[in-house]
Amino acid sequence: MQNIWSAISRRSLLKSGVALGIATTVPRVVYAQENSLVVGVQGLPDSLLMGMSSFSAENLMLQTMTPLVLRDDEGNLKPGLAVKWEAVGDNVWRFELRKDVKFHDGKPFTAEDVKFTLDYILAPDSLYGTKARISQVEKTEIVDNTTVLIHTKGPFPTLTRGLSDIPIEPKHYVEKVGREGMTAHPVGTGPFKFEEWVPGDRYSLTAFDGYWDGKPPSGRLVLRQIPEGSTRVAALLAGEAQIVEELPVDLQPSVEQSDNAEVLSVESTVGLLLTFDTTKPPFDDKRVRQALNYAIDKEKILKRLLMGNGTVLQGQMLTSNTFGFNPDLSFYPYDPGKAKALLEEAGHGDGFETSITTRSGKYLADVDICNVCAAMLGEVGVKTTVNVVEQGVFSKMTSAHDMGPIHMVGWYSLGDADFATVWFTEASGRSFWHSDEYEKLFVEARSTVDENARLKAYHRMMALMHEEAPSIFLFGLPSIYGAAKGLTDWLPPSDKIQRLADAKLG
Amino acid sequence: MLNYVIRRLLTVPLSLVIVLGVIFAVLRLTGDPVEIYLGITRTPEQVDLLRLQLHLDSPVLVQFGYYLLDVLKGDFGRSLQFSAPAMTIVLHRLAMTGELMVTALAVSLVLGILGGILAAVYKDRTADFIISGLAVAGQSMPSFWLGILLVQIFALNLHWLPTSGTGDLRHLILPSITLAAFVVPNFILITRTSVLETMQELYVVAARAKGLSRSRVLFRHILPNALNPIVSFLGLQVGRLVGGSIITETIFAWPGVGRLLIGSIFQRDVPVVIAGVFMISIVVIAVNLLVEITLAFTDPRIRLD
Repeated sequence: MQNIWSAISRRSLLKSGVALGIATTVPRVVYAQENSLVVGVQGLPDSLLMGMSSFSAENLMLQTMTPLVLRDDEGNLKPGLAVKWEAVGDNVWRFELRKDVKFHDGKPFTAEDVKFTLDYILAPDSLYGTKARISQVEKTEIVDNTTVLIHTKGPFPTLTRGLSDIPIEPKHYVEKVGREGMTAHPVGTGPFKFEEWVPGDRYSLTAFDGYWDGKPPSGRLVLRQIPEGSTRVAALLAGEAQIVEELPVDLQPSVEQSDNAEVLSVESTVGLLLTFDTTKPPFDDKRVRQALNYAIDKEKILKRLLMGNGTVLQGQMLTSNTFGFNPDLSFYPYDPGKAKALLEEAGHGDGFETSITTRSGKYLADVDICNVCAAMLGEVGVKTTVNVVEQGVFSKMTSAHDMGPIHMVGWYSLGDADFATVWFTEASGRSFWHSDEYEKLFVEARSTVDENARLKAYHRMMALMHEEAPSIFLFGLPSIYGAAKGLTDWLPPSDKIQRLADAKLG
Repeated sequence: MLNYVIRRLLTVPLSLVIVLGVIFAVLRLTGDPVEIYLGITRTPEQVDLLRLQLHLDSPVLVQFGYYLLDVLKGDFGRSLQFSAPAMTIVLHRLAMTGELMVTALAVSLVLGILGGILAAVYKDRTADFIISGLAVAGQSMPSFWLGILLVQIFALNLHWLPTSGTGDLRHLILPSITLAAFVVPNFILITRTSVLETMQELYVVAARAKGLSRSRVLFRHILPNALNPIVSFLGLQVGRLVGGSIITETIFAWPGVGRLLIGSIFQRDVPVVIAGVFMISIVVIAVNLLVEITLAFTDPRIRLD
């Protein structure tokens, strides 16, 4: 009897092996699953813990969760889990909650959940990352199932904006599974439901049928971490991702020339500054600070280094999309002659030596911008070196309040002047420049809920800063995204939080 | 033999304490974890609480003492950024790096030894010229660039392979080739030299004189004797592969421990950095131990030292 095994000759075995090998390596053209939206992000946190203050963490949280107040892509506030809110006194706000909202586990959302979340965050021992955004909240009072009163320690005009960074957690669920359980498998009222979490690799979600604002058209959402910019672009062009964030400027042309993807950019709320140490000469002299503002050709840098993305700051730290922006100001024009004259007047006709401290990779083209600025300052006689330090060193210099003569920093406003202007107050511990009037106006603007009074104060503060020039006002940095052609109902967000509930693939 | 193994094993804890000490010192000297972890919107109460939790109010040596004590108990602390056990985070990623490194090591062994033997056997002929030339070129080529080039050709132009990420086996091909490229050239050159040197030995001449076939001489007489330097070299390369994995994992979005470490270093996430370096050190030390013991088995001269 012939053995079945001897019938299989070695040659045929080899042949089938080769065939198998080819079969497994044959290209599969479509990598993405049907109707799934893949977003390539630069960084993912290593945990789904609620309340981590980085944008990358918040971007994950807000896919599954909804705050009381939502921010849109331009930074405007709109109803989230609260449909209406009003200040019912200097220190009390009334929030009317949305009815018939369900969590992913089917349980209804109520006022209990709001109080539970805010109490958890404001507990004295909580290390919740965005706690400071609502630090002035004193207590939350439940009126009925769909109404809460939020009491603040004083007038707190940025309460609603602060609340837009606070996703509401399900009380029943967190109490059942504990904090660890919530982190391992978040449940919320957001457009997407938790599916799978692979640290450092991907966060997969599925559309939530019962989302209060309608089921998202994308059945599945995958946020993939792709740290290297050129790989993100490659993934976009290969069709593996439909949206990629932080598109490197130097790769912009290759995306523009492709037939399946495009570049979308938006002004963020980051105002990029070169801030002076005004406590030491020569920058204790306003004329020197102004001179250096005139010496930088901002429009040229924007065009060449940022490829025209973003905007030139209008002689103030706030970007034009921020509440408090002063439209009457404009940027210091490029005028090396005037710069030289001002330096002469201040007794620095022969120039001087100085340095710029910066980090690398913190902001778009940060080191390149510093280098070009240094060269431009050199042209008016200010010999400038660029000192690139690592994040840990930068933090150490920050706490020692010794950043060198000039340092590069970008301040986020997230849409409200309060969040950005605070960094030039004495209390922030970060400012070198001091102005009594500025301090007074800052407190004034913070302690009223009257929008017009606040606006007036911020306008004056911006004018003051413009004149005093504690910094060289550079750019409103852009957020640059790449997106597949055919993707609709999605816009690049100004605050790095991706709103994907409506995004549709063509 | 047993004595030899025991003597080798005794050096392990000492190496680990030194590794821990160096990492701890470097991280504490270059930045305050409170500054980075809590970010700019921190409140003073949060700062005090964290300082207390991390024993940051004690002298550095005492902090290190606390630390060693915890490590002995197997507690590597919680990640400052993610508030999860540091070791859990590291172990998640270590497996992914392991997958990549084992594949890369296998690729480099096959390519390196095969290439080295061919180059030695055909010394000064076309094959040698091509292989040695490629090895030198490969050694001088930045792997960062090689990785991006591979993505461009095989993912973007040919559409054969995915650009990055994890999934089926095809995701492993480009990263492991890129990582292997770190060590293949060295493997080739060292194998070539070692084989060439062994060829000069008198017992090889004797074997040839006896009339043995070329292949028999190569496989029975030359290779076993040429293997020693190659095996010890292998141990050294594991360390280099760890370094290379950082770059490779970044380019190919591979969720490995190398990338985790870099991120954690920038964020001054001391527990994760120490847990990661600790695990990598264990792997490197274990591989080298294995190499030494293997060598002692195959070469009596070593264990008799």
